Amino acid sequence: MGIVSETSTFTKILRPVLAWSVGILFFFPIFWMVLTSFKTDADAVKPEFLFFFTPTLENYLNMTENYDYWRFAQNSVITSVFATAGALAVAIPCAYAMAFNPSRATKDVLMWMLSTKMLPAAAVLYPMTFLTKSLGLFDTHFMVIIVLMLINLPIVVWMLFTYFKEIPREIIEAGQMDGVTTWGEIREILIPLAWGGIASTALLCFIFCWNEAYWTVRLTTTDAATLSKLIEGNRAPEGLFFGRLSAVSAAAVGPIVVLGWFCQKQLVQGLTFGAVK
Amino acid sequence: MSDRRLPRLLQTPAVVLLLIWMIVPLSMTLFFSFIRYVLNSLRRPEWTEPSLSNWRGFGNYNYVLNNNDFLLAVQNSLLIVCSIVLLTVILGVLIAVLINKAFPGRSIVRVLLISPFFVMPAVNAVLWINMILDPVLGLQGLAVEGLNGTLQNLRAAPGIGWFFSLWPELQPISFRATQTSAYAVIIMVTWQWTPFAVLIFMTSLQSEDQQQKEAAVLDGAGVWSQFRFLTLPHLSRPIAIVVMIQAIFHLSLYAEIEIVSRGNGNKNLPYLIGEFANNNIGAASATGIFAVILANIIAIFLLRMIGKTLME
Amino acid sequence: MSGKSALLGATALVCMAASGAIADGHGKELTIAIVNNGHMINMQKVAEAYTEATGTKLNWVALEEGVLREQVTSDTATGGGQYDVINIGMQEAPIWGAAGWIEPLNFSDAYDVEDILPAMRAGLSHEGTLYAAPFYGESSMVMYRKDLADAAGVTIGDNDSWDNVKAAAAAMHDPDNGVYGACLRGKPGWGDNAAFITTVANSFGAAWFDADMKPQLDSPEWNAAINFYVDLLSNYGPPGSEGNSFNEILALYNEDKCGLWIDATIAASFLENPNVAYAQSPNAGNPVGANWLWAWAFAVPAGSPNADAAQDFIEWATSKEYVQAVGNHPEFGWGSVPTGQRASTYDLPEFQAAAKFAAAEMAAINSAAPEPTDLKPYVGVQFVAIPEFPQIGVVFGQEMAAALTGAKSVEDALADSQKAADGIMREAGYYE
Repeated sequence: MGIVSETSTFTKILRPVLAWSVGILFFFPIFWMVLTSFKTDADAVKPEFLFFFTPTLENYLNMTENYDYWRFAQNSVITSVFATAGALAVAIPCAYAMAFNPSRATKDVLMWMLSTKMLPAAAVLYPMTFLTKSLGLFDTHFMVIIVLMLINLPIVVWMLFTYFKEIPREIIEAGQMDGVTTWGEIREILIPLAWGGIASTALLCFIFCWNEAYWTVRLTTTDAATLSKLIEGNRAPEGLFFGRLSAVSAAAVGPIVVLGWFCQKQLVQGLTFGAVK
Repeated sequence: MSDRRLPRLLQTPAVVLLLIWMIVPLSMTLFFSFIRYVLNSLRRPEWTEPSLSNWRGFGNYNYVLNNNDFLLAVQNSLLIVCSIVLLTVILGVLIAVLINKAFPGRSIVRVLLISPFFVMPAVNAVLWINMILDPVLGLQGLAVEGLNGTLQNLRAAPGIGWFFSLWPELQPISFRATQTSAYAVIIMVTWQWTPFAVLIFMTSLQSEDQQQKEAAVLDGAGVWSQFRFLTLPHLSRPIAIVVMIQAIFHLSLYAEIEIVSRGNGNKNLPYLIGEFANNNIGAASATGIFAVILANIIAIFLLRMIGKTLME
Repeated sequence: MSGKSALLGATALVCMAASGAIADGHGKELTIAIVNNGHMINMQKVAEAYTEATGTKLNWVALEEGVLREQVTSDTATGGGQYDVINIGMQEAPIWGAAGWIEPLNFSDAYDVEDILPAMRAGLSHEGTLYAAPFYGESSMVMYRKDLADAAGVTIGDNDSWDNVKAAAAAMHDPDNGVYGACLRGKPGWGDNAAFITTVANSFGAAWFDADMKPQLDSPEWNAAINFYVDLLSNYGPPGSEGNSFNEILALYNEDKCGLWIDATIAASFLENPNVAYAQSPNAGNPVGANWLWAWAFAVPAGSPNADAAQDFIEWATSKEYVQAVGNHPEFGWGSVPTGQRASTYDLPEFQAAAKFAAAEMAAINSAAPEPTDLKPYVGVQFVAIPEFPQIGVVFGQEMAAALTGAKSVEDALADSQKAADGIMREAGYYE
């Protein structure tokens, strides 16, 4: 690529400078949060300690001592993993059917699915609280998993649908000729072919699950409480709190940011094959 | 050819699950929106049970429509969603084009750029409103204070002092004010979702037809016309995707509204519902139904505009 | 009930086993919902001894105030059962008691209910029955920088006039050097700016409702009070006051950016600058001073499967022994004991030595009157103890923030608040 017109010194210098500036600008708030998490609450609001201060681990130690950070983290991992797995398990067959055996209603069904995500959660808080409690599912991993799965199902179905559509029909139909069962087709042909797309969909779904903060806060007390609940408890405690809050925030978003970094290539590759090609 | 019924049936688990997920709470909301239903009342204890005998027809709807905040909430819902979508698409395209070509450290820049997308909404909001945008203790306040200090020093400088005394002192902007709080929400959500747009556009640009582009260059097409006639059309589908997903997510913004200003000046429909739900479930439910209607209008609108690009 | 049960009938058959398993089984275990305030966080450590002594395991759920209220309300309104002990305030206690959402509290003689400050007991009871026990209580008072006031040649006395307070704020106001005369609450919320503004209004002789529970926000007293508040804060307050509540102002004050601050007495225990003086809240010539009354209290929600253990825990957490336990705790000491709940705490010499603000706080609490007076026909000082108040207070708080930022005139903001309050009261069936 780039044999023509891309060689001028202007673009050679300006592009990297601009790109780096934008990158640093976007990352700065996160950097700032992490930096603040190593300041005491009192130092965090003092201009003289803006960049140079005596770093302390106090906030992190407080967090693990006063709050059961690892339990919250564990719950986040469990619920996000199972919700993502559940969503994929339901969505893959659905997207398969929509992509390879579409009916006239398929597009409307897809659109309807997406529109269910627009319903305001606040409107159904009481019905949902009521239902989960009468089912005895309040504050259980099971309920959180189900809710996270259903919230993200529309997007998962839709993304998979766009990936699957890119797979030439003939490949699937060849399988059908050979007398492979539908399940065999999905397992042996579809999943290996669309692996990149499935992986990046799963990753996105996992991020959305991890960051969900309406239902995970409101349908749990202790047993199934995730990191978003830890944040809710710490976002405005009495007194000075920037340091404490930064530490809790960094610890809550840390795992997912690092996961995102590692899977970034995968995410990009996966997306390239599907919807956005 | 194998039987086509089984594959069709594979849709049913997803459809049925979503149908239940939608229908059960929605029908309860619909029911509550037609009755008197409050959580606690010392005057009318009978209203605390959701029963048919508390039927009041469209009374709740009437009350909500006559509420000063209702129109405001609809406006804010639209303002916030549309601004964020517009900003993220524009910024996303520009940044994606910028980092599409190789340069030293591109993979690091990519990592830096994508990171905000992984941050929890509540963390995003407290981080921005307290530590960055606060007019006194946040970085904004400190920056303004520092600049004003520099200005003071320059004014005192001999010779050039008169020039700087013509400059006005900077005033920090309060982002929790009635006039600005919606913009604070727009800024922080745009920060978080621009990376998503960049991610999508970037991957799309990688599959752009380079030969076509080079041919265009040989034909004497400038940078702008390349962008306008080759890149933008190529991006139409990813843009549709970004618009769709964001409309879905941002219509139900809640935590950001709460944390920035508790709904002062930036109240959207979900937040108004939350306020009613303090006690008056009937009114909250009626507002919920309005929100559902708004969501559907937007969905139909989007379908008209970009549905074709989206589904092909 | 019919609609509710019909919808449930279809689904309730499933998973009944799960609910039973949680309720009993593993001995005594209490789930406690708390606001994330310093005293509560300390309690989690002090309570380790309680767990050791009684074998009761304690699960803490710390939440932001608004979310806590929402969650406790949604749990209690749907039959309870998720929490055994809940942290509620003075606004909720009498109402929830009346609604049967929380259990009446019965303590042993050793607990000494009479020792709890009378104002606290009155505010947490309904028809003479105590429904919540105060963990710590507070009033409000003026805290100001003695050094700045001296330098400016001004003083603030107890129950000083508002005009004098304003003059003092003006004298200390020096924005070029980063000092703002008055730091006051402006962040919307019925427990935030509405609480402070209501105390100002009280002192101007204004009241939320008349005897028929009709809102009075269009009265001249309200107008005078709000004009004064907006004038004071927009002229002598820090930029962005509409975003400031307790935490934000505390940070500003500790950064030496505030001349005077009128807020919860508890703030005194957080102040770093030694140049601090206290004064009882100002008034405008009315017998009701501009100070509020609040308590963070513990209650047992109806439907708790462990009501007895929960009562036992509350008895411990709000006892004289608890105060001793905190005072003698190696990590905390007498500067950290919860205050404002018991008269006996203020008699302890160790406490008097550690808390310089004790006398001012006690005086402020004792001068607040939650019960109905000639000026106001309802229970509550900076709030009204009716279920509809939070909704009214939220709208009012936003209108006041709009007035403060200049998005609306004071008159419009009050007129719109009046309209909203009237609508809410009408909706609630107080009048046609």
